[in-house]
Amino acid sequence: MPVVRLQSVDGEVFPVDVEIARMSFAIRNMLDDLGVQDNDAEEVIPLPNVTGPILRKVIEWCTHHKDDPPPPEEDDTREKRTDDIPAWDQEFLRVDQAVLFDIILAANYLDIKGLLDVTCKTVANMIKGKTPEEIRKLFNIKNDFTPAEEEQIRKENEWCEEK
Amino acid sequence: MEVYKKRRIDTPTETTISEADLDSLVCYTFSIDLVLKEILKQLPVKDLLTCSLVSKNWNYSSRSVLRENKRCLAYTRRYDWCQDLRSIDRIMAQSQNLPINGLSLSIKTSDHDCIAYSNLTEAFPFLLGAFKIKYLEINWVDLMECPGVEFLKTVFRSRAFYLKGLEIFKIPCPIAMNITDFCGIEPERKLSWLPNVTTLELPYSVHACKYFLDDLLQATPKLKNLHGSIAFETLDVIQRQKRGNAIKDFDYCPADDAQIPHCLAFAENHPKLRRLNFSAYLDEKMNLYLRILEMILDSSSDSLEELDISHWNLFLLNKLEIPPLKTVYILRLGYCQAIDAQEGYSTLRKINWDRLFPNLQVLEIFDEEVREEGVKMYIDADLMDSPDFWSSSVEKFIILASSYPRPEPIFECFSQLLPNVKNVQILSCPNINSYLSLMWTTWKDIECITFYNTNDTELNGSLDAVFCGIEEDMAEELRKVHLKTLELIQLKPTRPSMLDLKKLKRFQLDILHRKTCDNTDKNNFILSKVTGALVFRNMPQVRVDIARMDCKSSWNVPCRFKLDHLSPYARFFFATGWCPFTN
Repeated sequence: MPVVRLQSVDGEVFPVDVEIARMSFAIRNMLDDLGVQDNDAEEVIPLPNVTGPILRKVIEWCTHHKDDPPPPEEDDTREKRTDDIPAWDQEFLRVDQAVLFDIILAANYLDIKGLLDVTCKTVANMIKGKTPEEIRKLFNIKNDFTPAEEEQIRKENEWCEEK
Repeated sequence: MEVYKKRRIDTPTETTISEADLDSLVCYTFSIDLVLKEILKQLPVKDLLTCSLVSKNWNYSSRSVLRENKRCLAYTRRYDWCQDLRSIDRIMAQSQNLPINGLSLSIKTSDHDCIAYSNLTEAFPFLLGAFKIKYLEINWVDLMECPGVEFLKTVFRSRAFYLKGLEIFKIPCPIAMNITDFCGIEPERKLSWLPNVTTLELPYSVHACKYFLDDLLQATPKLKNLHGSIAFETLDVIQRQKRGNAIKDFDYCPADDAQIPHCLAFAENHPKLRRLNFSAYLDEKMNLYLRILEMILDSSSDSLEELDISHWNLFLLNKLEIPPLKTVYILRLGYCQAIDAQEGYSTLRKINWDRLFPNLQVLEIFDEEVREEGVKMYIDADLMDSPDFWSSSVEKFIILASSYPRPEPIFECFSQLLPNVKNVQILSCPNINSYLSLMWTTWKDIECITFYNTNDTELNGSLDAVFCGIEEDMAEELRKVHLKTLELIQLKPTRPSMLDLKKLKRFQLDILHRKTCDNTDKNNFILSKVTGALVFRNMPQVRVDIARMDCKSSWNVPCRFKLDHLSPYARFFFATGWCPFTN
């Protein structure tokens, strides 16, 4: 299997199967733009936005999911489910909040849809069922509304609440 | 924008970064609009509306997700529904950032106060102007003349181009019989007057009007999803128009042989269903019925999410040569206690759950009786000797409790079948004391308990003793103690109590107000300060949500359901007949 070498911001180099590396659309585009051939094993791709430990996690996820079928077509009219995170992914994402957010940033930068999807679902599950105040507290977000603005939004939202 | 500074982390699963660094990381992540929206897209409408109140940035992103990626309707609620429609028009015209992308119109009473108007575009300038209505939901009960009806006709006649989804719960028959003439749609447009609609959702009663369904199918050339329990009666209409592949929900309940050819043709077309309801009684045609079922399940094995099936038909499914139904996550099971009683063992344990439904997450049971002569025909003689199985994947168990007044056999059977349950919902419970006592002991690792629409006709006293795991006379004594003293007492339960559930995170309670609030004892609440101070207060990890239905009468009688005294320990919802809880 042809290999590419991915280099993290802290200088760690990871040899990775090309097919696994190409799960990242950002790396796929880099390889295509550089005209890297399958046998260019010495080519090093620098990833200045990802640290070594996070890149290791990302490669672990991609390796596990390399044979996944393409995701089904999205249907706007049906609510997305967040209770369908596979058991392996749940275990994989049993990490503290900082690591989870670092993986999200890496998945976004590297453009790995499946990984971004499952990490965002994990954060969405932390938000579900909470009040605005509880969400603010969870993520330390400042409430920048005036009481009048907040009241106006509540009134507007009332029209959209199913009763 | 605050810039997140990179820092070294020690291991892939744990970090030792400071709180300030974590805040900075979270803040930076949420400041990337694409990432915040990707997270918000995973949430249902109800939670997104909550998110719109978090901060200005979250308001902008969540409302944008609601408009662009969700079905966010503005609802008319009052009988004077055309007045509501005008209010929606005004509020939408005033705000630049409303999340609304559709309307839900409830057209109920012809005898109401209509708005005064000279022409429609003056009455609804925004809704008939800048607003591009993407989703429309209609519950049309009464025939009437009203500005709102004229509005609807105009939408169908000249603004249907924007519509992507149409859901019709009910429509008066005379209108359904000839919807295009009623709306004044020109004859040449009858074949595609809903040109961009991709999703139609119609309940069974609407299907029954074949003309209407025929019209709608002709009008929607881009239809991809037809939801709403399609049954035999309308299958021929759908197939004649070659729309079988749009069917996503199907009731396969063969009873009349004349319908079988339509079903066979449907199955041969490789449908990709999202929900299937299968119900059949064994007779000489059963092999053909099952062959069709096999074909439907085979083609839907990557798409089927929901399966409704009776207890005895599950044995048939177990014998079919079908691939594992990997995408099925919810099974609604008509569980018949009489079968297990007759056979003398738990027959559901003989189903190979993890092979058949490897990713099943939710099992919902309701009572379904089998014909007396039927059971033996479904159960092989050697079934009892086959190995026992259980489901390792099910985490949520829902019981329609009104059909199971004696909970003990249910809990015994399903605690063995579903050992990994973490979330239990008890709907329409008739006997909350017994159900609660069993909840404290059955699944030790349970994380969420919900009692919804509880209708306990025998509940006259308090539930304090059950929650605290003490005798009623002790609870009675404790109710006389002052709150400050009560909070100092160390509770020593003599029976299982809620305090035994160490992993519990949420407890949600909704008991219907039965208008029996006229008690003479002002302290006779369904839950008193005793449960609040001795149980809820000592379980800080548990979020207690209570849906209040206290008395709104003007008699000023003390209401047993008024639970203000629990406010330090619980959050309240004001229930109005729908489930207020999100999980």
